[in-house]
Amino acid sequence: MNPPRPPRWADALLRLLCTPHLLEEVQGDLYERFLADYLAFGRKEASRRYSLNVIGFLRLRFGFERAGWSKALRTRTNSNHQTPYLAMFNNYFKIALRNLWRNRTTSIVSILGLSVGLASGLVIFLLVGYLFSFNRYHAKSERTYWVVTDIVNDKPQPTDVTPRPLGQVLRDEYPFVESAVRLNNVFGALVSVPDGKGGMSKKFEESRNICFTEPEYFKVFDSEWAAGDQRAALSAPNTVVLSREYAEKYFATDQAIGKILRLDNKTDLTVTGIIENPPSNTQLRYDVLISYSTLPGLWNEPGMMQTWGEPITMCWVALKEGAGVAQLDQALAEITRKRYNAKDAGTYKMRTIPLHEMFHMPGFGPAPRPILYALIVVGLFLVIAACVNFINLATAQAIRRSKEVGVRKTMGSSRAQLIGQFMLETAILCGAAFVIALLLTQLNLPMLNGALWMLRADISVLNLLNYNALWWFGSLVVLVIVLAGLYPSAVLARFNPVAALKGKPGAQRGGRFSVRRSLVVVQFFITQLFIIGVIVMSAQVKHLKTADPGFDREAILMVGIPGGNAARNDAWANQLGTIPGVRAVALGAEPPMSQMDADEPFTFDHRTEKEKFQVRVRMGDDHYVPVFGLKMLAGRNLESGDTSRREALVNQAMLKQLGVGKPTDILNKDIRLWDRERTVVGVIKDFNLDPLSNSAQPAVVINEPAAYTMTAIKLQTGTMDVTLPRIEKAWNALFPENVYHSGFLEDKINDFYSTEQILLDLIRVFSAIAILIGCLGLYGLVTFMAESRSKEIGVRKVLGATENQVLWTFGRDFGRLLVIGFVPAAALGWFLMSNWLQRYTYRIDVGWWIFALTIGVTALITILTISVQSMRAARTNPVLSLRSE
Amino acid sequence: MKRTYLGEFEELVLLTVAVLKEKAYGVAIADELQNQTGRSANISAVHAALHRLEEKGMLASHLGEATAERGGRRKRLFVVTALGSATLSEIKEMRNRLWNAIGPDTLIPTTI
Repeated sequence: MNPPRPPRWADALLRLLCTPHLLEEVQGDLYERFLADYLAFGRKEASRRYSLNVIGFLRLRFGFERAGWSKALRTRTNSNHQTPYLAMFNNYFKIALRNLWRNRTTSIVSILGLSVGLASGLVIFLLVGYLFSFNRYHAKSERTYWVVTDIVNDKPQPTDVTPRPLGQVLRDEYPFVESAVRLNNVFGALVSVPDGKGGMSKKFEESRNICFTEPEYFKVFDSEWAAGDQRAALSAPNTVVLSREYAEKYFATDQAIGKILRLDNKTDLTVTGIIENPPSNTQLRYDVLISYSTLPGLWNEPGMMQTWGEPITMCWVALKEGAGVAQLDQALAEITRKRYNAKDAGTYKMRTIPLHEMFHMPGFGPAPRPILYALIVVGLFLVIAACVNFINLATAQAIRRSKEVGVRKTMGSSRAQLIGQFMLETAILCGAAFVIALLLTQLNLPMLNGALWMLRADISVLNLLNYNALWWFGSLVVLVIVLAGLYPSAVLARFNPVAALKGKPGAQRGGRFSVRRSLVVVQFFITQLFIIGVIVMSAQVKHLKTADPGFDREAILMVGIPGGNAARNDAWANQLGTIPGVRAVALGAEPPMSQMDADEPFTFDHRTEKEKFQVRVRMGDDHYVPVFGLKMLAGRNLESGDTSRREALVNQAMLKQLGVGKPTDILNKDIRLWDRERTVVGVIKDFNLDPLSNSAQPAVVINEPAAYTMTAIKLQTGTMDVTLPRIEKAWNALFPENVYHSGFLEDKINDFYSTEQILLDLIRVFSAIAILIGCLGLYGLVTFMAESRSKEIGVRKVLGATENQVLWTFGRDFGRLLVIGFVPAAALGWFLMSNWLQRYTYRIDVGWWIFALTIGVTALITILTISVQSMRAARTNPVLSLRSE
Repeated sequence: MKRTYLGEFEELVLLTVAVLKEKAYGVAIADELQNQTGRSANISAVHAALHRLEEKGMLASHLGEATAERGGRRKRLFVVTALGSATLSEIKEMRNRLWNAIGPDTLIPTTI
């Protein structure tokens, strides 16, 4: 029988680390103990004990002198007559830590500066990474295309939909199509849960996360199936698939298969499947998927599936592997030719958008690439600013290390070795900074996720662990270390040993404009660019929120109402009139300013052709104009008894586009809109129709009681606390089967600018960080200047310079750098901000005051930062600085 | 008199070496320690103590014969030197002096 053997790895470890001349006896003892244990406790326990004993021998307590690993490795490397890398490495490490400790204030300042900069960079990069990850997780995302239609009239008007039969035709007739799915979004629906006794136990107002779609949805898009039969799902009419979250919301359990939901108080839907909650980086966030075949019954249009009319449903197409998008484009053109007459074929232009580009398409997704790239640039700027700051502080420190460098060089150290040493130091600092940065990032992400609540964002530092992120994060680390370490170590390594050991290291090279100064200029540039951005954006957002939009918005409460029942609407309006505190009530479809808008074609004055441009429609009753305070320029308001819906109001822009000169000239002319003649009875002043419109658009106000979906209630200020609950109570009594929702017009308008607000908040935070980092850099530079110019200042003072004159020498230096940084910052800032402002009709001018303010603020910050150090330098008694020569 | 300081564990190890006479080596010492004192001693700790004692000159060592149960490896055998013996007896004497100095009824009798 073979004798039992101890675990091989433990043996190997011992051989590797134990001092060679002690190996025999140590191993012998351990082996003997192992055999004894083997007999007493068996193989497993003996092996365990053996391993523990080996580890016991490696303990530091056993000493570096005995079997300690360090000594063992050192003997190994030494015995081969190699350079003792490890010894040198240990030495570098030790010296680095000692130095960091000796200059702890500066070390902390530079680590903090770097980590704050890195953290902001990380936050931005994580955000951008998250925004770029949208819709890419689907297995077929590379070969799935979204088909959209441009309606080409006067100018092409993009839509996100296609004619209804398109999906079916593509699936059936084109073999290169693997699958296609049609989908209809629902923008507002009432979902209620029957209580089994004819009533409703719960009701919910849902918007945007409900859709009608086909069984192919699950073939084109990835979704994790939780319960129910996936293959049969969504094929039968009146069936629905829920996300787990929503199943729990409706039924308080995820065992919801077979249960019933009621849609809009009309149609019962049976739950046939549950899917896992969609991930946060999907644009197709649907929690309630209703079968597409429900639609004809619901809308009472049996033939709708075969009608080639206006584009009306969304459509995604997954191609077979190997098929190209060119084939799809060709097929779309062919279908348009075949199915439409010549005129319509010219009007409806179908085109494709790759699934993974959907999120970045201007007009279709919320994150256009230019904005994301701009964010990346902002992030890089912050990281660079942090590095610059770090370099400044590190080079300022370098002078104190000159003696060490002198000694090392005298002892035979090469330049490369010195550079290596200081790079190691930088790497240690950067490592610490990165750890702190990661912590800071994680602490701040909840705020960012909160700001992006409408995307249901869930960004976390753990996102760094995926493949792509590791790649850029790794490069960032390397980039920062190289960027921050290379210049300071080159400076240190080039000290002349003779001069350094004599104590005159300041062999000032590079005349008036050293690298350090240019770095400070870079920092001034970045800081001032940020300041310009903040000033312009703050002013613009303030302007947007306070500028007169042409209508009143104070104290107007918007309350939604279910459409389609004129009698009840009247009752509601009448009832409101009796509530004290309500000054006026208007019924209508939308407030004057709205984001969801489509323009409508129309005919003017019985002309034979439709007008070349389209008009925006606002629907409201005779109170619409007074409640919103729209100004009448000519004619009169809509009549209250306009029951035949024959009247219309137009705005000034409409006059201009139609070429009508005087407002009174258009009165009593006819407009044909939606196949109905209306007479213009009044002209109103232009008002802001669209939060981002490029110019005043032509608009009409008409009365269309069937389309009423909201009430605008002008309230008395001061008594709102009492009035609001009364309104809600009256509403609930009148519309028991629906959900009450209301909001003030002012809040809604502010919500239109939420993107601007988020952008502004972000840029404010990052500017503050950029300024902070800039200040640290300035502080570093002024410390260095005060130190290296102490003799010069001494001589000046001896020769009669006053404190103010000495201060001025500092001020002049920094002033020059500030101005040099300001010029490109102002130019670039002006260019960028003017471009950004082009998006807004109602915009501010980029005036000279912005730049004056910028330079003023920067100067103030600079003075505050450098004053303490320069005062100290100016006040020093020249005896102290000149004595040691 | 100035003499080298001896830790409690070192003293135990030194005594055990004396007990084992010519058969004192790592494992044997650890085993004997366990038998005599009832506390389990780590081999590495024993080795460390042995090396320290040898450095202090209280132990001398030589490599013994190879034995089959150790896979043919030799063991390092330790003996107590004159300095070691002197130190041990000095410690003992000092303790005896201290014991004698304690009065007969000073210590509270334990009832264990």
